[in-house]
Amino acid sequence: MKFFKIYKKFFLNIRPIQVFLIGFCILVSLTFVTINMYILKYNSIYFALLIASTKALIVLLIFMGLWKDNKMHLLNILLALFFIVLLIFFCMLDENTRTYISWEKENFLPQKEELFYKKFPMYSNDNINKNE
Amino acid sequence: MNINGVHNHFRSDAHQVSAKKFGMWIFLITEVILFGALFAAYAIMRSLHFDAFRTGSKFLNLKLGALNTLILLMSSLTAALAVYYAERGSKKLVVANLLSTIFCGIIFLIIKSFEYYEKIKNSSHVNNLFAGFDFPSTANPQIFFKMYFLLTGFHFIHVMIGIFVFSLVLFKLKFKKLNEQCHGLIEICALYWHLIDIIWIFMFPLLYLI
Repeated sequence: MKFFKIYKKFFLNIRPIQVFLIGFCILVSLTFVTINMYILKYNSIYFALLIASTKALIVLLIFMGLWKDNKMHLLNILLALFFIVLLIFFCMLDENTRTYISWEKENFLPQKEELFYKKFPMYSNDNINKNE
Repeated sequence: MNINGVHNHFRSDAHQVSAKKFGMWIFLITEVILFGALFAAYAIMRSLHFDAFRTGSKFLNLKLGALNTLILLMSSLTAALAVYYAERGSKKLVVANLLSTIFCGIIFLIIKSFEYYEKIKNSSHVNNLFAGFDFPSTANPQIFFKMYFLLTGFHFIHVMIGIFVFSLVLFKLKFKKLNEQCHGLIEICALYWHLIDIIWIFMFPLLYLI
């Protein structure tokens, strides 16, 4: 029972000021971790983004009050994030697989030409010239 | 609108505030989508011109970027505290926290402007950034700086709007009592400010720590 009383006091009441301060301290610490990783040359964009996502989550849950707010708002933001991830995923998928314009040859070619010609020899310049 | 400032189609003050808050969340989603598209553009450009991005990133001032991050985090804390004290009806503390938020926002803009000035000063033309440097063609940072100005420029405008909105809230608080409507307004503005903070949280490592 005592546990529930403490729980009620600290978590179910209007956000206590300590939660904000702890959240802020964590945010500052994570910023320093990111910068130090960069200075010590242990930087990886994925790690930096992971830390940034954690920080964003802290701001969303604590500062924006999503952890105790209407769940509809949480659903809204999750949906938006889902569509952003989808957008970036399809953009990157497209970018990594589609061809690009070669200014020299003025046609569409894949980024790894050698692999492409190995797979589709009929499109290589030699074969095209032979047919002509 | 009835005598308490509650529109006819709302049952109570709380109902009206909750509807406004929901509207703000919908608006925030459109903002997330806007910046999401910019981040997608960044991701494509970065994968196409990785060397250029790495070279360009070296020209940014990491210390100023980190300082700006801390300032925005601080402003987010004060915005959250303003909402916290508005819930408790302490007008003085609300005003103090809103003023701190505006102050942090202005400092952020000053530092960012200084960074912009430094970059523009070092280039012969704004459209031809770093044209004078002798880079290999794949590592020319012009494309990075175009993305940098696009991303941070949009963010800069949002911070300016945030400061303007908070100033309006302060102005309103000067003549009004701190009631449910005011509390709702402060909460809505704080939500916008937190989103600006979240966007910067992602921008900082993507631009400064490549």
